[in-house]
Amino acid sequence: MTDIPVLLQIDGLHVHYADGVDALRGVSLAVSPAERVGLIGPNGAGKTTLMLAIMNAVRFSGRIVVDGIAVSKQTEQAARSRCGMIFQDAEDHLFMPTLLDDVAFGPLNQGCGEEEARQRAAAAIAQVGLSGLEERSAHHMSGGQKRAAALATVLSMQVQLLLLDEPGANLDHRSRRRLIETLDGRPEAMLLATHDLPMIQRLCGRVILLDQGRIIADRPTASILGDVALLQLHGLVD
Amino acid sequence: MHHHFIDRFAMRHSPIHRLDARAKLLAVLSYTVVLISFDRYTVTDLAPLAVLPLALLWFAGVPVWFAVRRVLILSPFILMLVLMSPFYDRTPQAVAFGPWHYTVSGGWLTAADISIKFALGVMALTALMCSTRFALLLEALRRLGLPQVVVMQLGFLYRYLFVLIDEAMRVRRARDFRGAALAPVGRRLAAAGGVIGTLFIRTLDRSQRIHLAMATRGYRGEPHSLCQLRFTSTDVVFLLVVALYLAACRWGYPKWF
Repeated sequence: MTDIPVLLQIDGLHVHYADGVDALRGVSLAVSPAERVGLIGPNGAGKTTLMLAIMNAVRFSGRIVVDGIAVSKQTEQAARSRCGMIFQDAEDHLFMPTLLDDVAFGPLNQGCGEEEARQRAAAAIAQVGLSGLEERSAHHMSGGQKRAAALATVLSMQVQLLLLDEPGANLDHRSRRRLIETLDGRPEAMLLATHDLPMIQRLCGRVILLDQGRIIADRPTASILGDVALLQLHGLVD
Repeated sequence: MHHHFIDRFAMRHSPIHRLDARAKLLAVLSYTVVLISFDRYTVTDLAPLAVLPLALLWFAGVPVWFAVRRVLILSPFILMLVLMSPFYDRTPQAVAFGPWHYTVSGGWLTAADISIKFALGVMALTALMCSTRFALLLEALRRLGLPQVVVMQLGFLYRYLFVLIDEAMRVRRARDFRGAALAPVGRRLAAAGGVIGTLFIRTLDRSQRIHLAMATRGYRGEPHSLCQLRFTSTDVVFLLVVALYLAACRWGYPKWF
């Protein structure tokens, strides 16, 4: 039997918020390189918290290992250079005065020189189809362009794992289709948290169903999305 | 609400747009210093100072009405000052403009002085903002020695001011759609307090999310920018012309008449 390489390994993850909420309760999972995993669950299930924990942005107990690096305060910069998280609201992601500066922000913080950062940024902008808008500010972009720009900000960091929190939220049909096409061509592993089940069906080979901070099911996409009773039980379909 | 309010015309191409942001910034700063250095009773001496903002606007292809509208929009800030001036200063002052001589009360001159300086200052700033992309302006400020933290704050202000205004408008609309206009004054005031509180909490939440977005992309307190500024001989010539013009306005003009 051959060993399957693991990019992300999570064991016994607990997150307890100061307001008394147990957001995650003993979550364990593994993601292989280039694997795309859908993360579904009702509101408050813990999907975003799981991603924040991987980025070491919330306090957690348990073990998270990204590309062989055990995530902690000491290793967070190294871990973060392997993961890129895109937040639900693209406005939060685009804080620099121009798109080029925004997309180059990550590479420059990773220690790239200006020329390399510029090249990486230009390449990432081209990959998401926003070439020509380098000097544009986020407030001069449409919702779909902002979402694509947010994706470019992490692609330029050449990460191995994309953490996408509701990437299709508030997008019109065309922008959503473009986003799916862009993501479908990506070689990185993905953890995709969304309520958009058709997007999961199109992009992910495996789905994890979270509810109340626990993993309820972790199976191939067809198996979970075909289990209507399970989806109904957790409020994901009527 | 759109950012066109701030940086409309800034993406255009013109001789003024092509000038280095530092040159334009220094020119407008020097202009402002010279403008406010005039005595409040020497109103007629301000006339030649209208040339620079008008010339900048014209060469940048920015309609003068656009700058005049900005002056009118911002004028409430000085309105009280202007209106009160005639009541505070009733000293008779002689005014000469070429061959014409008048005697008016000092308060009216002060009111005219404040209005003219305000209008010219806003027009010069409008010319600067409309001919310079904000990112370049921030970089110019940084290179001219403004502390990094202030530059970053200005950048965030520019980026999120209108996001905040949009949020405020949405909250206000939600309040109005539920008949706030029909409510008694007390309840309306309470609702206004609720709107302000909601906006404060949302802004705080957003700032935390932005910080998180920065942290997850490796931010460690050292902001970077790929904006490139090039100070060329054209910029030197521009600054020399502006310096000569300002010197002439400040020290030469009264002797010409």
